[in-house]
Amino acid sequence: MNLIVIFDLITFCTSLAALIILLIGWKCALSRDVKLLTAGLFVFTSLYSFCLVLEWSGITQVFDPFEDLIGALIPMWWAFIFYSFLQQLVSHDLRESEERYRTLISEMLNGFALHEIMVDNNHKPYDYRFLEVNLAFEEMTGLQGVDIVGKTILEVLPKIEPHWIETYGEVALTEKSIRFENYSQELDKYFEVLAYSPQKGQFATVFTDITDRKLAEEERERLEEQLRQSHKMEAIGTLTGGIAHDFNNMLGIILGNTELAIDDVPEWNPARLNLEEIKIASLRAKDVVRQLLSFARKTDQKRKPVKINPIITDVLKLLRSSIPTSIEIRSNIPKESQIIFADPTQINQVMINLCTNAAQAVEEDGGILEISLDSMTLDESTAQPNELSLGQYVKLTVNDTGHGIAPEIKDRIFDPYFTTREFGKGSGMGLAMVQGIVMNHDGAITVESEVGKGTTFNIFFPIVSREPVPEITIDEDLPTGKERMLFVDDEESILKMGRQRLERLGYKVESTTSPIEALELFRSKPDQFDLVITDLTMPKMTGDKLVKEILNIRPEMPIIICTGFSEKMDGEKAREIGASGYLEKPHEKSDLARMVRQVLDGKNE
Amino acid sequence: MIQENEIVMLILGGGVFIFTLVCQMRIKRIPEWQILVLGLYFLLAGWVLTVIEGFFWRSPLNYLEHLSYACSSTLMAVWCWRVVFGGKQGTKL
Repeated sequence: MNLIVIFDLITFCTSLAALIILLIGWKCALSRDVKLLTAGLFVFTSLYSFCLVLEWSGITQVFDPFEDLIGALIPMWWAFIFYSFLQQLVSHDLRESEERYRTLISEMLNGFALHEIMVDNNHKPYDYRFLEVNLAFEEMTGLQGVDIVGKTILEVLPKIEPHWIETYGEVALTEKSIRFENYSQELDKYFEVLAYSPQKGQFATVFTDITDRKLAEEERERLEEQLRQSHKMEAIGTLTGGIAHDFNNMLGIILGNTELAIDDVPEWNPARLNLEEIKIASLRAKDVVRQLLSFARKTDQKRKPVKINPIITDVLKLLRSSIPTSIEIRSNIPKESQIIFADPTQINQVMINLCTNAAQAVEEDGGILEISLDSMTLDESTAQPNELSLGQYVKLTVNDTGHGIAPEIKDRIFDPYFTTREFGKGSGMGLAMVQGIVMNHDGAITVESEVGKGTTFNIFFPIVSREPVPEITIDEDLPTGKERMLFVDDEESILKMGRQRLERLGYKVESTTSPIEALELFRSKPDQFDLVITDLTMPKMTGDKLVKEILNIRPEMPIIICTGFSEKMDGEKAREIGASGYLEKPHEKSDLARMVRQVLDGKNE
Repeated sequence: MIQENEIVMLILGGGVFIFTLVCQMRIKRIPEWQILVLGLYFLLAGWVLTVIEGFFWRSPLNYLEHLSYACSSTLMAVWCWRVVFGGKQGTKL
């Protein structure tokens, strides 16, 4: 046996071995086509080598043509094998790509949906079909993929607004992407949506749940609005403070001169009654300024046990004189009055605000304004909705037959600065103030209204069992004296009025509008005066500086500081700088008389 | 003496060779592709030698030809073994 035959035998045996190996391991990872072609190759190679063995061993030459044919087939078989391998690779790559795509889509935290747009004969979109959705889409929307894939949007959500179909249709047909935010009423969620077209006629949406962010934004806006309101209130406070000084000065002039006039006008003179009314109104105006300051600055309010009936009755008297007679005022106030813990001035304000609003509502065509007082016990069913504690309450009702409040604005009527009136005819603060006062009194306010029929405000105040503290009666015999005093105020009218008041009380008064002149006067003869009364805000030298200068000359000198309003001064601060007393303008003659006497007698307040 | 069938085999084999060069990047993803391609190249070498032996060195080239066939089929058997019973190279298809 020559070497060639041995080689051919090796070829034959190894080919057969390869075939056997392939047959044994037929379930290997190769594709069916590759396995068949490879098996075929091994068969041909075995046959070819067998023919070579027969030829080169000299056994027979019969299979030579067969050998030639197989030899020509073998390279072709190789080509088929490689081609089949490449086909298998392509399929494998495709499968992997699809698997990657599926994993990518299904694992996304964002919702994903693929759709096919449907157009009519005019190429106008009228519907779209779900082709694919991911898990996040199902979780966000509550729609299951198995239920909706293959269906159209109108089959799944028949009430969907048409503009969505138009919007997405445009994306699918123009292949232009869009991004927008959307609120779904059905899901009560906000979404950020990105819509794009992977191929013409289709569009995909990727959406993110942005509800938390939106709620945070709304909360931030609400807080910013609160801050703005707070700044506005602060501005009001500053403005009020700014005008309070001048306003109180003017009130002081009115009140002081009114008192002087009352003293001069005999009781039988009808003018005396008018003067008394002016005095009452001035004192009320003083309280209003104080209330406005306290509302803006939330300073302490003066609450005490009071009977509510007289307060309401007084307001009704005032209203009757100020409201047109075309408006009928009815009152239903019981004889027995309940006691509430309140600031009478603030209750006054509540009534005036509500009744003024009611009067304006019925002004045009006339109507009825009805005020009722009632007492009731609130149980759980009635207390809870109004956020009140259980117990006994006074219910104050203000009802009108006016035009009513539209439902869409009813929730906003207590908002600061909200008004339905023309610019300049209402600040929008009235009802806000009313609500603030009622709530500060541990009460509640409700409103019922029907357009064209009228409005009813119900205010609840808790009843207290404490008896009201009797009003301190003013001693008609005012303290007087004969001491000498120096009176300083840059306002000529106040100076004149103050001088008159003090002289009527028996005192000897030197007065000047100039603090410099006052100081010189004092310096020239420090012992000639028993008391100095000075305004605070004056040009060239303020009252507190004047106090210091005077005390430098005569340290034990009694001094009273008098002021309309000042952020920088109060009773405490006046004492700190060495003043013996502090009076706020406007004040009554009796307040002045008592303060002067107390300071002169050495009883500082 | 050159035989026509040997020329045909050589031409077809040349075509397969060119195919492997053109698609070499994808062929490299076939499991145990080095052994497979080497087996093919030994077979191709055999076909080249069987043509050349017609011109000169008939006897030595004839031995080499048959040796090439033996190497080729041996490598095919090894490739088959590696693929069927777990080779480590190439793509798992």
